[in-house]
Amino acid sequence: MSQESETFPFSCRFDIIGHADEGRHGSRITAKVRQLLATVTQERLTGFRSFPPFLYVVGVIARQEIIANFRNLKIPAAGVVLSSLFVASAHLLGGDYRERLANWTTNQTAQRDPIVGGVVRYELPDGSFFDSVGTGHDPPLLLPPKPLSVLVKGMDGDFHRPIALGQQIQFGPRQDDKTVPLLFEVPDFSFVVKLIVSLLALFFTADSLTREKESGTLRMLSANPLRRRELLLGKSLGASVSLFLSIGAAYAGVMIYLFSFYGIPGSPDESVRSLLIFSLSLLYGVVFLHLGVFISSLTNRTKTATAVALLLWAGLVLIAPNIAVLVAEILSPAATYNQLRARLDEAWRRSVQAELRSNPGAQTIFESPNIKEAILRRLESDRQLTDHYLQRRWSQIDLAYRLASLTPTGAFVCSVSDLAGTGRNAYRDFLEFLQSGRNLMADALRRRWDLPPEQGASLLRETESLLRSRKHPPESLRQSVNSALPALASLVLWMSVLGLAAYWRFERYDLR
Amino acid sequence: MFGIIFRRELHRGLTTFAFPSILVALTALIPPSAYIQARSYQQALSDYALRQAAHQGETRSGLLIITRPVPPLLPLSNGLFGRLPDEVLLLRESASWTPTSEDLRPLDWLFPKVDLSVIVGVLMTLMALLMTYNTVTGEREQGTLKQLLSYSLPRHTILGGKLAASVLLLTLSLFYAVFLYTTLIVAFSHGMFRLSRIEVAEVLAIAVIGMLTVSVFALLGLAISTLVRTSAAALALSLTIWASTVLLWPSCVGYLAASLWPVEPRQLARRELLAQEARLIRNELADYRKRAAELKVQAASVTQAWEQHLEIKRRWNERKREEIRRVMAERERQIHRQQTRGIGLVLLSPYGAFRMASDTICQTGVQAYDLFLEEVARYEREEFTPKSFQALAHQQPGDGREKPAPSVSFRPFSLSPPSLRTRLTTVAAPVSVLILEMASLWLISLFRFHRYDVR
Repeated sequence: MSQESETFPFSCRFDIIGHADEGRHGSRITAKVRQLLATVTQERLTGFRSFPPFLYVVGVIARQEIIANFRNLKIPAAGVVLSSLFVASAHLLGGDYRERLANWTTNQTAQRDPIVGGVVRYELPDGSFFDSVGTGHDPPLLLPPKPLSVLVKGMDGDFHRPIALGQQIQFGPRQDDKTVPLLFEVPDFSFVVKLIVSLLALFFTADSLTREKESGTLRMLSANPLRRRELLLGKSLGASVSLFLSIGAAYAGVMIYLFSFYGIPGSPDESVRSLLIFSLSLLYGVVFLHLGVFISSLTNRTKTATAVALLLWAGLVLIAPNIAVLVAEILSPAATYNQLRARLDEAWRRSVQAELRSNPGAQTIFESPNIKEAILRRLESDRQLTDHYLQRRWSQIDLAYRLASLTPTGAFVCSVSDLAGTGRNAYRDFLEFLQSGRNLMADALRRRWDLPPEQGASLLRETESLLRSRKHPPESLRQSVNSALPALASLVLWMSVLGLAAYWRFERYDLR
Repeated sequence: MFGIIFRRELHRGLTTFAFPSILVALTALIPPSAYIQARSYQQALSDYALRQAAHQGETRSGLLIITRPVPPLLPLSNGLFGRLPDEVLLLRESASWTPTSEDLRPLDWLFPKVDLSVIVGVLMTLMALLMTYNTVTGEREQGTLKQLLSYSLPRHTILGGKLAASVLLLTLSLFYAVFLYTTLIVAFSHGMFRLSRIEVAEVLAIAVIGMLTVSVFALLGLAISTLVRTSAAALALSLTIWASTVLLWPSCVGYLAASLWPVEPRQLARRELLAQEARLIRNELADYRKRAAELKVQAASVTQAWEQHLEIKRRWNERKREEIRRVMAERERQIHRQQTRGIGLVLLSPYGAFRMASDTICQTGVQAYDLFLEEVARYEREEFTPKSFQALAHQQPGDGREKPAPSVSFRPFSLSPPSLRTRLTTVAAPVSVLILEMASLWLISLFRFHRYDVR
C-alpha cells in the first residue's frame, strides 16, 4: 500500500489527474483527463469553439475532482459521518421536543381543570372567622414548541416556561429537568453543521494546492494551456459539489427520519424552511471551502496549511462569534429580571409612602381616598418599567445578532435560527405577545374601577379566558427570510471575498 | 541524556509557531471574557443583594422566598449557576415547593458564555494536540528520527523527554492563562471578587486539574503520532478524536441520558400531583366543616375554635406533605438517576471530567445545586414550617379581610459550602479518570514507539 493511501479519508488528497491514486485507479482518470485536456488544447490552438471553453474546462476539472473525491472515499466517508451525526442529533433533540410538546399539551388541558379549594366558616356565639385552603395549576406555557426546533433549537428552550400575565409579566422557571445538558451546547443540527461541516469543508480544500505542489502535479498542469482561474474555479466547483453530495445525502437521511418518526416537516411552510436551512448549511460549507483554498494558496507546505487552517477554524468557529456576543453584552447592557422586580417593588413602595404622607389619617394605602389614582399610576409605571426591561433585552439580542452575523459561524447560527422560527424574530414576537396580553389585562384592571364589583369581577374573568384562548400567530416565512437576509448577505460576502482572495493569491502562486 | 532531549524539544517548542500562537490566542481571548465574567459576577452579587432586601420587606409569615447565594468563584467556571432557577418559594399551605422564577437568557442558548473552564478545556486541549501530534511522525518524515535513535538512547527516554518538554510548555501557558484571567477578574470587578487564601488554593486546584486535562491531550497527540505513519494522518485522527471528545460527546450525553433513562415530563407529573393534592384538600375541607358544625352545636368560643382549627390544619399539613413528598421523591429519584448516569457518561471525555471538577470546586456544578435544594428542604422542615405555624397560633382569627400580620423572624437561610477537602474528594472521580487516561495513553505510546518502524 502506498504511503499516501494510508492517510485518513478527510486529509485531503485532491488532484485533478489522480496522481496520488496512480497505483489503484489513477491511470484511468489520468488517461481520461489527458484526453480531455488534449481536446481543449486542440480547440484552443485551432480557434474552433463549439462550447465556451472556459465553462467547458471548468466543468471537466470539477467533474474530475468529484470523481476523485468519490474514489478516495472522501464523499462517502463525509456522508456517513454527517448522516450518523445528523440522525443522532435529530433523535436526541426529537426526544426533547416530544417532552416539551407533552408539557405544553398537558399544561393546556390543566388550564381547564377546576381550581380545588374552598372556604370554611366558623359561626360561634362570640363571633365568627373563616379560613380558606386551595391549590391551582401552573400558569399557562403560552407557546407550543416549534417543530423545527428539532433541527435548530435556538432560543426555543427559553420560551418553555409558565408565564403569568397580570399587571406584570411573571416569568416562571423553565420546565426542563435535564441538568447536565445545560453545561454544554445544545447538540442540534446547526451545532453539528457549525463545527463538523466547517471542519470537513476546510480540510477538503486546505491542502488542495500544496499537496499537488508537493507531488509535483501542479507543474505538470501548468504545462497545459489551462488558465489558472479555470483551474481554481474548477477545483472550487468540484469541492462544492462534493460537499453538496455528502451534506445532501445526510440531510435527506435526517429529513426522512424526522418525517417518519415525528411528522416534521408537517406543512409546506416547514418544508420550505427546512430546504432553506439546508441551503444555508451548504453556503456555510462553501465559505469554509473557499477559506481552505485561500489558505492553500497562501502556504507552500501541506503541514503549514493544515496547521493554519486549524488555528483559523478555532478562531472563526469557536472564538469569533462568542467575542461578538460578549461585545454586544458590553455595548448594550440589559437589566436582569430581578433588577426589574426590585424596581417594580421600589416604585410601588415610593408611591405608597408618598400617598401615606399626604394622607396622615390613612393606616394603609387602601384607606387612602386616592386609592384609585394610586393603583392606576402603578399600572402605568409597571407597564413602563417592564416594557423598558423587555426593550433592553431585545436590543441586546438584536445587537448580538448583528455583531455575530459579521463572522461566518455567527451568521450561520443567526440565519438558521431565524429560519427555524427559534431566533431573534421569534423572540421579539414572543415578547410582543406577552406585552399585548399584559396590556389587555391592565386595561381590564383599569376599567374595573368604573364598574360595579360583580361586573368588574366578570370582566376580569372574561379577560383571563380571552388570554387563555389567545393564539400566537406563527411568524410568516417572508418575515423569517427578511430577518435572515443580513446574515445571508454576510455569508455570501465571506464566500466571495475568500474566493477572490484565493484567486488573487493563486494568480501569483509559485508553482515550483 | 534525558536533559539533552528535553532541552532540544523545549527549544523546538519555543521556536515553532505552536507555542507563540497559544500565547497570542490566550492573550486575545482572555481579556474580553474576563471583563464580561467580572461584570456578570458583579451583576449576580447585586442581584442577590437586591433580592435579599426585597424579601426582608415581605413580612408575611405564610410565605418565604429563598435565594441561592452566589458562589465566590463563579467567574472562573459558570457551570449551572444562572441556568437553573435560583429562587425557591416556600408556602405554608402548600406541600410541594417549587423553584419560582428564572431570568430570560436567550443568548446563552445560542452562544454560551466563555469562562476559564471553556478556555482551558476547549482551546488549550486543542493547542496541546497541535503541539504533540507530530512528535514522532514529524521526525520520521524529516528523517531526524533515525539520527536520534542512533545515539543508543533508550526509547522511553526520548519519548519522555519530548513529552516533558511539551507538558512544561503547556503548563506554563496554562498557568499564564489562569493568572491572567484571575488578575483581570480582580481588576475588572472593582474589588467585589476577592481572593482569600482558600480561594487561591481553589484556583490552584483548578489549574492543576486543568494541567492534567491538557496533559491527557498532549499524551493523546503523542500516542497518535506513534500509531500512524504520516503527520497528515496524525492530524486528522487527532482532530477527529478531539472534536468528538471535546465538542460532540459532552453536548450529547445529557440528552442521551435523558433518552435512555427518561423521566416523566414535568407538567404531566405536576398535574398528577395536583390531582392528588386536590383529593387531600377536599378531605381536609370536609374535616373542617364537620368540626365547624360540631363547634357551633357546642357553642364554643372563637379562641377554642381557632385552636382546634389550627390543630386540624397542622395535622392535615403533615399528612399532605407526607403523601405529596412521597410522590415527588419518586420523581426526584428518577431525575437523580438520569443525572448521575449522565455525569458518569460525561466523565468519559477528559474535557467533561475537567468541567465537572472545576464546577465542583467553584460550587457551580450539579452537586452544588442539589445541595442548595437539600438545604432548602431542610430549612423548610426545621425552620420555616414550625415557625410559621407558631406565628399562626399567635394570630388572632379575623374575619378574613385584614388579618394582622404577626411579626415572625425566620433565621436567615445560609448555605455553608462544603469544605475544600470535601470538594476535593468529590473531584477524585474525574481526576482519577484523567490520570487513568494519561497512564493508558503513555503505555500505548511506549508500547508503540518500541515497535516503531523508523524508516
